[in-house]
Amino acid sequence: MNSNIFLTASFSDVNKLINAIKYLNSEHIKFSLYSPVPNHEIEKALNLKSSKVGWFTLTGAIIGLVTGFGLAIYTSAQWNLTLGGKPPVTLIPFLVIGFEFTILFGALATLLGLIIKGKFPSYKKFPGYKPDFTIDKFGISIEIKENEVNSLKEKLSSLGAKDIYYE
Amino acid sequence: MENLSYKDVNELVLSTLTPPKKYYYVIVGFFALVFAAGMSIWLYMILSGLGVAGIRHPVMWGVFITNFVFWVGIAHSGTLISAILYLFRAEWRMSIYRSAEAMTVFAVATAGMYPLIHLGRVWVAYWIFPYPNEMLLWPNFKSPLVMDVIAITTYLTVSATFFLIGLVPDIAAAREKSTGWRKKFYTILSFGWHGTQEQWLHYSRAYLFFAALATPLVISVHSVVSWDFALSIVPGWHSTIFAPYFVAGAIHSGLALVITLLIPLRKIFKVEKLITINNFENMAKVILLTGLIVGYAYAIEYFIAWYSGNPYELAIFKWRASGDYALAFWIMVLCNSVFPLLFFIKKFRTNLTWLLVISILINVGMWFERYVIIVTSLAHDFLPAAWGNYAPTWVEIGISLGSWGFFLTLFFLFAKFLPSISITEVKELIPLNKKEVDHE
Repeated sequence: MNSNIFLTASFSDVNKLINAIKYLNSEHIKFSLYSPVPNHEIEKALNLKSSKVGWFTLTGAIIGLVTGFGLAIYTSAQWNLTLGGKPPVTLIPFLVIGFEFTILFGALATLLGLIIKGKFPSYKKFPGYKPDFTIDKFGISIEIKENEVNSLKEKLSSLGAKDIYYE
Repeated sequence: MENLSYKDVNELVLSTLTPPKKYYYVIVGFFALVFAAGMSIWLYMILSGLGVAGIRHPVMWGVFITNFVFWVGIAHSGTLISAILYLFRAEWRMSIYRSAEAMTVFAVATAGMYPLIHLGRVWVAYWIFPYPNEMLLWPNFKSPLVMDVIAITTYLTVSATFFLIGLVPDIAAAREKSTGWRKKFYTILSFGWHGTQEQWLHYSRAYLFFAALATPLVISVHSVVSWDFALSIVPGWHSTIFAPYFVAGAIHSGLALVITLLIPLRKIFKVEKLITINNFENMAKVILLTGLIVGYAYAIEYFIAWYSGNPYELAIFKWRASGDYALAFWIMVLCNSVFPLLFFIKKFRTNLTWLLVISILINVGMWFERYVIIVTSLAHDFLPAAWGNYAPTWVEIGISLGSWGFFLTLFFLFAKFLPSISITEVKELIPLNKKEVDHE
């Protein structure tokens, strides 16, 4: 039988990991990567598109700004009452309300963006994941055909993988 | 720290989460009891009316509002360390920011209780929020008190979210090393974090934006708190320097409390390798700066009072330094702007006993600063016929102690059940490409 299996290689050296990433990219092999810390060099080697979470932040912040000013203006206009010698709709004090809503909605939208883009929370099993990958090891997990395992395993070992697992 | 491996950091921080000893429960139980006692006194006050507190005409803002401003101020340094210093890429923040951030969240929660406690009819507290109601009434958004409600709720929401998001990768690390109910607890709280590259990509981005949003927020919150005073026309309050003066004071007191909490925490958890003297020295340097700003503000207030030519303004400032509350005033001056000057000398910045003593003195001083500002201005405003002094009653003192119980209970629970030092960020401090990440 020639079924798909997950081959996972663990690395403890970033330079070796980056070489392995470069090799897999050059061979157009798809893989997922686990790492205990964020690292710019790994990110560069992976060539990922930058995160779109910022667009959520921007949208949320703009909605917040409009909501804050809108709320203050609308509610003040309900009663045409002069307070403290100021006209009912006074933009300068409303700046504080607008500002706080900008931050509040911006932050909540960032959270929403993180949940949507990062697919949180997800309690499903991550194929190839090992507990060491949140501690001190970097892991590369590849879904491949059974007959390709040996050649890839050798290659990854020669690139410096410490342990190799199958699933 | 450079001699540590990833595994060492992991083990060191997670060793703080081992099941606690008996004396831990005794301590937490004691603080919880203090909190419960404080709440019982509040209940007594609700049932019998605000008259049992010392606030009465003309001093309608007393210890409750003093505590409110004090706790909001305490919160500020946490965000300074976690967000502002994050944007500046200050590496010394990394091992201390988690505890500072936890302190922020708990301090804002504590502060948030005080406006409620201060209300005569706390059961209608929701009237302050803007919602459509049968009376067709809306809050007055020109009032700094309403601005304050919005600023504080925003601050609590944003800082709690920021705190929880920062915890996620660390909780995943704790999940892998725990068993039983703790494993379940950490599994749920880790939200399925596995450190995949996609997760890191979006996470790092979101974290950056959170820091960028929290930075202006923290400055705005204490400015808005200061406008509770500055936007009224009471002598001693009506001042344009209040916003920067309050923000500097907030960071001053907050950093002092971070030092007060971290010195015992570091000793109990034996994490001297992670929280070093360098961390404390840097905090002491920032305290020196904020102490100088606060001291300058104290001095310039007198200059403004004299130069304005306003007799009411000048009278209140003369009375502050020499009247019924002179003791509180001089405690404030000495503790906030004179004692911190010792930090000019390296010995005081690097000796833990001195750091602890001076940081506690600063906290005492900063509490008295708020007390002096609030009480003296109200006690002697315009007409001598309407003057009157204020002293807190046992009810106010009891509730104040209860709020310390609340804060310390939360902090102790946090220290034992969540990683009080950021595992991920400390790992980032270890140079990756220079050596293997584990000892081979």
